[in-house]
Amino acid sequence: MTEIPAIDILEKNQHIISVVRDTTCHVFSTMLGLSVTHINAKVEKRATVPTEGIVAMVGMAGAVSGNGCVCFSKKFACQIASRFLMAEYDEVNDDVLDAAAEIGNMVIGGLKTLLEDEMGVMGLSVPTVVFGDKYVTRSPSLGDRMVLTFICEELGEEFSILICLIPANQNRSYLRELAEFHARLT
Amino acid sequence: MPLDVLIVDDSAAIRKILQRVLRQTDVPIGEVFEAGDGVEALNVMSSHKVGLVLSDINMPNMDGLQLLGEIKAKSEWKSVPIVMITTEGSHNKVIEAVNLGAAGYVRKPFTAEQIKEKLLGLV
Repeated sequence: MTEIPAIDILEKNQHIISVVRDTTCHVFSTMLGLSVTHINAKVEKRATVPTEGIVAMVGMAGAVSGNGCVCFSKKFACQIASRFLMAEYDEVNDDVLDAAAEIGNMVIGGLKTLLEDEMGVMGLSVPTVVFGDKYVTRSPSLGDRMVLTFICEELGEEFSILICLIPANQNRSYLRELAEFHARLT
Repeated sequence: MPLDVLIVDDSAAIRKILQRVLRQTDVPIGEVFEAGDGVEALNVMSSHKVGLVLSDINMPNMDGLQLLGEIKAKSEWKSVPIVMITTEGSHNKVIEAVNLGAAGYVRKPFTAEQIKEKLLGLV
């Protein structure tokens, strides 16, 4: 199979990138009163660098399958929770994880709603939050993922959004290939 | 007479935010009950009389649209106004909620003003 260059993947997914950028800016300004700026987009073949902090992950299935992750540092997650819930948080606790999950839910939910209008009906999973040190998140069957980096200048913090999506028609061909492969083996 | 309200959302953060917004409205609010999904919400409604329900859609165990259907199917609950507050903004879901009898629909992210405006229109 010929590998698609990263630059072509970004070019092909310009619309998704712009939807994620607009949705993220809208969620942060409406719910947190924070201005955030999209500073970079790249394609990641596989996650090799261990992450630390908090990842809020939401899955999609239907016309497009995959998932979206919003990744925060512990400090930024605490700052977000403090603004979200109007209380002071210095340590990660259930409230901080819940606030991170809800921000992830709104960002990926917003992306799903806009994609659904163009591509067809999709379902959204409830969010999952991962918190820890030196872990790696992967979606092996979905291939490359786009990494969008944002900065919140007011709080001096960066955060990332990882998007890994595959349209249903490509997903079907992947499943067909898998079935054929299994048929050859048996 | 103060209005007793039930907030249904699997996110404790959103339940807290909605509680705060409710207290900021000009509507006199009585007791505010919370539920993390549709099943819990039905249990609360079986033991307490509420005058308004604010519900998410995408929840485990029983989602907000199923909950809406259950409430509207019971004669003693069918007049209780239900406002859906959710990330589910697709046209199909809005139509489904309205057809099932939702009194309003607010998309997340929301501002306090949007919630207040919706409540004042209902109460």
